[in-house]
Amino acid sequence: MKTFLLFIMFFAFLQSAFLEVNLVLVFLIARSLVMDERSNLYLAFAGGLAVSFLTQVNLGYWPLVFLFVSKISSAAKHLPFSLGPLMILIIGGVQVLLVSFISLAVLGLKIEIWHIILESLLTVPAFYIVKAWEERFVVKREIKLKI
Amino acid sequence: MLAALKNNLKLFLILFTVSVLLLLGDLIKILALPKSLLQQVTIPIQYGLYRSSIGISRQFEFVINARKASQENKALGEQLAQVLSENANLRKKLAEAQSFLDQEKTLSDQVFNLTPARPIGFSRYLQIDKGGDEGIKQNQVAVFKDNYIGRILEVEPKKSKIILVSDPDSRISAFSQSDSGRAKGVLLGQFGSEMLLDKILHEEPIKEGDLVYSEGQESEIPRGLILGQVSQVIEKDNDIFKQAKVKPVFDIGDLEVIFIIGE
Repeated sequence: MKTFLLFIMFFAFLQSAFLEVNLVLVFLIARSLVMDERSNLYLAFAGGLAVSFLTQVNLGYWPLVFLFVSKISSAAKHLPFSLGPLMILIIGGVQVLLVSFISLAVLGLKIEIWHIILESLLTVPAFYIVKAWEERFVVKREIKLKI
Repeated sequence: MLAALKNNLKLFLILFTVSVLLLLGDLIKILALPKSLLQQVTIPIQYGLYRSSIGISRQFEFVINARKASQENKALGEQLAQVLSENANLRKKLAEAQSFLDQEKTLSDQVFNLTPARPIGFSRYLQIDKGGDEGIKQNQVAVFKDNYIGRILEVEPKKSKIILVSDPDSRISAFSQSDSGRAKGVLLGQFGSEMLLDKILHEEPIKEGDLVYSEGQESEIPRGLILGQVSQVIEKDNDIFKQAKVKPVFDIGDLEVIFIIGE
């Protein structure tokens, strides 16, 4: 989680400096789809706080949005569908679209259709990157070797 | 799915409440001081990232521009080659048109039946692109303006060979004209570009710079065509005749078009 938090902070800096794609949102959706953990909520809150602070938006806005996104993604994981690339794309796309409409309503941010398409498409590779990371490189405390 | 929503609900509600408090706190500006303090740290980082991104994008832009410039350069090179080719063709046509005009001013096509021909090769003999199919016949005379070039030696259906006035086998009766009078002789071709006006009587006046003309004794060569210019007079007291070296007045290789005098 700590490494992921560092990445989220780095993405927050990138998107506040020059990147027009909301990478924090993409990776939060991906992680919430990969695993249903408490840490997703912490990451959503921290990531939202960082994005709000760095993009000069009300500090509470992005934490609230990301908390809901994380919660919806975690719930979508339990839908009676297999989590294939198409399903990930649909879930990601719907949430990206929702966030865009909320941002339009609350912050008055213009809806950029290419950003929505790109962010939706990025959800799929982000899902597999996070999944590979969590399965291969993160030590699970509950798995212990019996000697 | 509802059960999934209930997972970690307590934590969610706590973080939700904190977020709402932050929202309200930021609205009433009580977080302005810690925000400004923290910005002292984050703004330089953001600025650094921004500058780096501009630098990287400029590098990419340079590569793209270089590629575009290379493509444009290639296209312009092709266009230039095409324009140069067109220009060369136009110059050639202009030179030909100028030759026609000059020819009309000197030898009238009402008096002479002139057939234009292009030189296509030059070794000992000059080859032209007109032959028997165009009515060219052996011994017809080739001229440019009022200069004698040579006569047709061999005729093929599509091309012909001209023996030049400077050819060693060429012999033409000629005279030179100066202010003090005429000097008659026989113009002989020599090896090289120069010719020799031979059999000039001692008493006949000739000097360097005089123009040499055709006498017209040969049936096919009209009288008065320019054959060359005297470059040196060779005179020996004990010889019966004197001689003069004659040089051509122009370079055959520079001609774009010549004219054959027909019947």
